[in-house]
Amino acid sequence: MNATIQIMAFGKVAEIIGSVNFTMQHIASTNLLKEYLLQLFPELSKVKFAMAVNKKLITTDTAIDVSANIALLPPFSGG
Amino acid sequence: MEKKKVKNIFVEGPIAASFIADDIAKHSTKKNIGAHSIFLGQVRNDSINGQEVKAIEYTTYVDMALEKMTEIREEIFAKYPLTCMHIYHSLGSIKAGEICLFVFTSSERRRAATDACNEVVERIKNELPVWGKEIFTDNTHQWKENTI
Repeated sequence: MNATIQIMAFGKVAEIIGSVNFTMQHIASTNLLKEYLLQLFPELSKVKFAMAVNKKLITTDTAIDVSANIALLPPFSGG
Repeated sequence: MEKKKVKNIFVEGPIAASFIADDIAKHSTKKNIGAHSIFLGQVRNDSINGQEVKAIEYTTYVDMALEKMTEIREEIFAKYPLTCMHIYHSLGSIKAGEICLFVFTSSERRRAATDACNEVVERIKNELPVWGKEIFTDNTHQWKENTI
């Protein structure tokens, strides 16, 4: 069985990717994932986005466990 | 470890004035309260490049938002002597002029209610994973970013 991770995209990031939820092959760290996504979707370089690993916002490069849930979070604008 | 109780804050559609009035009325039985503070967020018809905002469509990452809100709630209750705090945030399409956020804090004396209310509103805007898509009158859109 191949190791996978779940990706959830929100707001403008979801609009660029064209999908809200998808599964992809496991990638070892958040920096590597970001690099991969930017290659796949060059438009993403025009927007700011943070990442959450298993619902926790991360601020530095973080290891991604197999089966982790990753969220791609553009700047918040609630309230 | 003590399990944190996660309360939902999200409601589909705008928050009606009658709902707010009912919520205020419910507190008349809590006679130790001496002050309420209420913040209401209303969708503003901003003009951007000659286009007027007619509505904001709100979406959230609900699991993360409610986990974060639980943490904020605990920190606010630890910091201020509040009697109670109620928070409602709209999801879905909210038209300009409609209410999209209702924060309601109560305490024995006014400072706790007003200070807690202000702090919670700031934290909601800065820390909750919620996104507003501004819909213009010609049906084009842009993604909002919070400013002061």
